[in-house]
Amino acid sequence: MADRNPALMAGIPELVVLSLLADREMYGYEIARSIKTVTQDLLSVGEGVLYPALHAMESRRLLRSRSIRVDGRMRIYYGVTARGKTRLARLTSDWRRMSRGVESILGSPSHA
Amino acid sequence: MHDHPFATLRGALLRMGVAPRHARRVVMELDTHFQQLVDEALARGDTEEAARGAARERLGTEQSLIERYAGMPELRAWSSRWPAAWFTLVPLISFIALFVAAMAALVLIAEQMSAYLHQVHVPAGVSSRIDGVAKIFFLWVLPLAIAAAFARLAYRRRVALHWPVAGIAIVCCLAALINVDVVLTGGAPPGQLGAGIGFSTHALPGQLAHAAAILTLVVGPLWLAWRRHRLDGMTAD
Repeated sequence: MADRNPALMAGIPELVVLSLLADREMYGYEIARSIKTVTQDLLSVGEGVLYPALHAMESRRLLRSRSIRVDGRMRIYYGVTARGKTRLARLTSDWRRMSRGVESILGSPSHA
Repeated sequence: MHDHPFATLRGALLRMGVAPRHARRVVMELDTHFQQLVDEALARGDTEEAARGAARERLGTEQSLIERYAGMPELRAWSSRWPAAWFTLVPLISFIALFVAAMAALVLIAEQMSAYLHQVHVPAGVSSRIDGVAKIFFLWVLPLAIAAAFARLAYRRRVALHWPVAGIAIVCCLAALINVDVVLTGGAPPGQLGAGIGFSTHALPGQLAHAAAILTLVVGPLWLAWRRHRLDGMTAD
């Protein structure tokens, strides 16, 4: 997800993961599947590299985790912390502002 | 039997300095994820082989994961972020702290027993044996245990040997320079407890032998384990 254009994509994986987890806890496979489903494959993610991102966000206390054994397999569920919610609000606001800015440029007469 | 798709990932991440809990966890999570992708593909009617191939492709290569971890210093172990401080200062501080704590415990025990000790006479042989046990504990067991703990940590984290060996050598030298005396006589006074650190040319050969003995006992196995691990790695390659 972050590999196509690192400068443009910086912060997006974090925004996507935080907003998906804001509603409910999920584990890695579920997060990857939700990204595919919700974005209708518009955002492709190397599913394996989701984990270092989740661990890094957890170490920054944006996420918390708990382990649950289901059908003999251990799943680690991630949820958003209070700090994560604050970060999500900021990233969402930044994204909307940037998106409006880019839309205005793309919609200006010189691009018509 | 199927090949494990991330069999060597944990070792690679540890060698890179990723904290063991993250290395252990990512392998476990990837394994669960892999199995679910395989189940998903099998449910669609894929063959086992095709399902495993597709799952591997979706998860990406070990190399891509290793590269991703390399760019995340917050996921690295402290011992990897600051190996010099971790493997030289922490063993030294641990040794001093445990030494002081054990001495304080001895003083506390002696104080609790002072009423009893005033009434008894401890034979010279028993007193000498107590002193001998205390010396063995403070000057051999304690430094050996600390040095071995950090050697084990260094091996588990796959860090280069120079800092752990330097740290172990510092602990060994300190242990060799310390002297401990526990004299329990009973009666009044009931005995004395003393510890000091000293250096003299007269005692130097003994102190050097003491330090070298602990160093050899700890660094020898560490070096052998390290060498075996490297040879195994070369064979695997």
